[in-house]
Amino acid sequence: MIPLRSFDLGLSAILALLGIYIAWQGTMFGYQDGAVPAAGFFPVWIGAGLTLFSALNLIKVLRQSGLRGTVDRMEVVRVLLVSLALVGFVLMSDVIGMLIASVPLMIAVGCIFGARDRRSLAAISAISVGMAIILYLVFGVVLTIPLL
Amino acid sequence: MFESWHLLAEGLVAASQPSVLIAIMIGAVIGLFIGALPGLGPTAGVAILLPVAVSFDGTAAIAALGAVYYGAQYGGAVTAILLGIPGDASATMTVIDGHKLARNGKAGAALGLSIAASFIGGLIGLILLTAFATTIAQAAIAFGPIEMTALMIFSLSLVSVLGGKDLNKAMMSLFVGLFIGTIGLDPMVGLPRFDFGEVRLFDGIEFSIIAVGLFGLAEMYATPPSIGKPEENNRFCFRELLPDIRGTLRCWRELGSGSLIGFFIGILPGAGATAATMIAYAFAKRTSKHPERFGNGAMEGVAAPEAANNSAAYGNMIPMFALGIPGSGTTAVLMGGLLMIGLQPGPMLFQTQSAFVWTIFGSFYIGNLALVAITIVLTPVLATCAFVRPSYLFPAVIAIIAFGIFGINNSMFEVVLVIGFGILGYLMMKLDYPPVPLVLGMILGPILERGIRRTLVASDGDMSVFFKSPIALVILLITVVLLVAPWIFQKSQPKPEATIEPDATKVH
Repeated sequence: MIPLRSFDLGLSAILALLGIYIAWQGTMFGYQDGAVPAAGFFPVWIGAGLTLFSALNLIKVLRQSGLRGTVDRMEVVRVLLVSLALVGFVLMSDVIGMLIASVPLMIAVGCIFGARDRRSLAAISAISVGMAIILYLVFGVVLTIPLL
Repeated sequence: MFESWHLLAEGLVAASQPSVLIAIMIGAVIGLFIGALPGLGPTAGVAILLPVAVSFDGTAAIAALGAVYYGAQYGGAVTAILLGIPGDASATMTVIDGHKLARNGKAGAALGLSIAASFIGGLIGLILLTAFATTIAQAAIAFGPIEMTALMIFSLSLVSVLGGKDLNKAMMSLFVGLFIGTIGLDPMVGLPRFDFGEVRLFDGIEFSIIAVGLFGLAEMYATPPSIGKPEENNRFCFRELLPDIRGTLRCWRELGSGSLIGFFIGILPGAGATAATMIAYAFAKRTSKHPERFGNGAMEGVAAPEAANNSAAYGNMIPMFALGIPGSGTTAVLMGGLLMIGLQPGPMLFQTQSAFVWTIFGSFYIGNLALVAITIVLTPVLATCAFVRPSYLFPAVIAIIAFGIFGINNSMFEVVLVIGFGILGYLMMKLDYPPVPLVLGMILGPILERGIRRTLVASDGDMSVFFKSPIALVILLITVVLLVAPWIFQKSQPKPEATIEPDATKVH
């Protein structure tokens, strides 16, 4: 189990820094052009607001030293693996094409979500091939999207 | 008022075109399955289908997305009654009496009643939508740029009700959304902002990338792989599945009250369908001559929440169509769909795109009627939906997401972005950051920025113009109350041990 408190602290800190960056960039775009607001007017206020509320949340989480719940380590691993599978699909699409790359993507996602015995693997393989054909018909033929 | 019904008749004719009819049917069937499948709610369903749907003709796209939304309200009841598993949050109240009825051998009576209640609730909701949307939109026509800007500020303040229990996190979410809305070329002078040297960000980030990442991928990530495994033997013989027409007719009072409660609760931003079902159920129980039957298999306990959740779906669309304010996660995604096809929801939509609006409303009537037949035919298939394992379902959904997102601009860059937003959505879900304010900020932020800057350019930087218009002043005062009231309530009330969250804080 991974404590959620550390995630919350990390996210609040990142968003507070992002807020400072947005406000700083806003001033670079120009806050006012004469009497009227310029391109940086809105970003300055957004940055200030994001920094303020992120800092408030950071302080709140720091003050609450108790456990704020946990997340299952396997769930986090699952999220990362699915994301990696999608990145793999993006990279492979350039080489072998989207339709062929979608089959290992679907099999990988099926495995990540529990299809690991021989019967489930056979089922997910069949679903993946069938789905690839459907995707070709819908996106390639009906919607005439030029697939990679 | 009479003109509305005349325009609706024309809309019904336009919605009967084969392309729109096919879109309605596809959307309704997909919605039914999404409603029945545990793990995917209507917001995730509409978000996942958004990039695919906008590839079609505009009217057909929105008709299909709308059908997914109200179709999901029908589908959620089937698994709730037969298996005791609510397909989505708004079907939770239906489980209480619906599943009891099924276990007492009255599955058909409960299912028939839920379909009738969904139809009647939907129909009453639609009639009220037809009547109210135009009236509100006509009143809002008087709004000039100053009033519209005040209305946008008011809409953003809705985070105080849409944001759930932690207002601080809701505000963080809102500001992240506002930031995302600024990415791309500045709307007034064309200066690139926050493009990080990436030309592909000049047009900003497509709304569907955010919607699919935050609602679609995140919801799948958080779904345990164990769902979908049958825990008990739910088998029903044919006789048990026959409807009880007399029992359905006896529930006329609950059908009426549930529909009206659902619609008016649905209009309120942030309240949503789940809150509507709870209030409708409580009202039906309180006004019943036999309240002791509720919870033990009362037909009225199915009628009230099912009528309410379908009616609420249409009530929810009033602020979106008439004022351009999305009142829930699903309507925010639907509004994103309208923006993606180049339409700006709000009072002017009824003036400039009247034929489109009435065709969409017409499609809702057709879809609501069609769903009665489709649900009856598909009930056995829908019942098995609850047992579809994520390991078989999610690979197909993720592939649809990847292809759909690629199809927006024929670019893999968007697919990479959606992966990032999926992780962000998962983190937000786990840490109780509501995603709806982010979507609200992203949609309304650019409109608000344009409004403020144009108004200030016209007034030569004089901010007092916002307070000189009586309408804008009233809207801004309501905004202040809306923002300040939750802080005061939070400070003055002792912390409750358990609270019921409005479902808009989730993803409905």
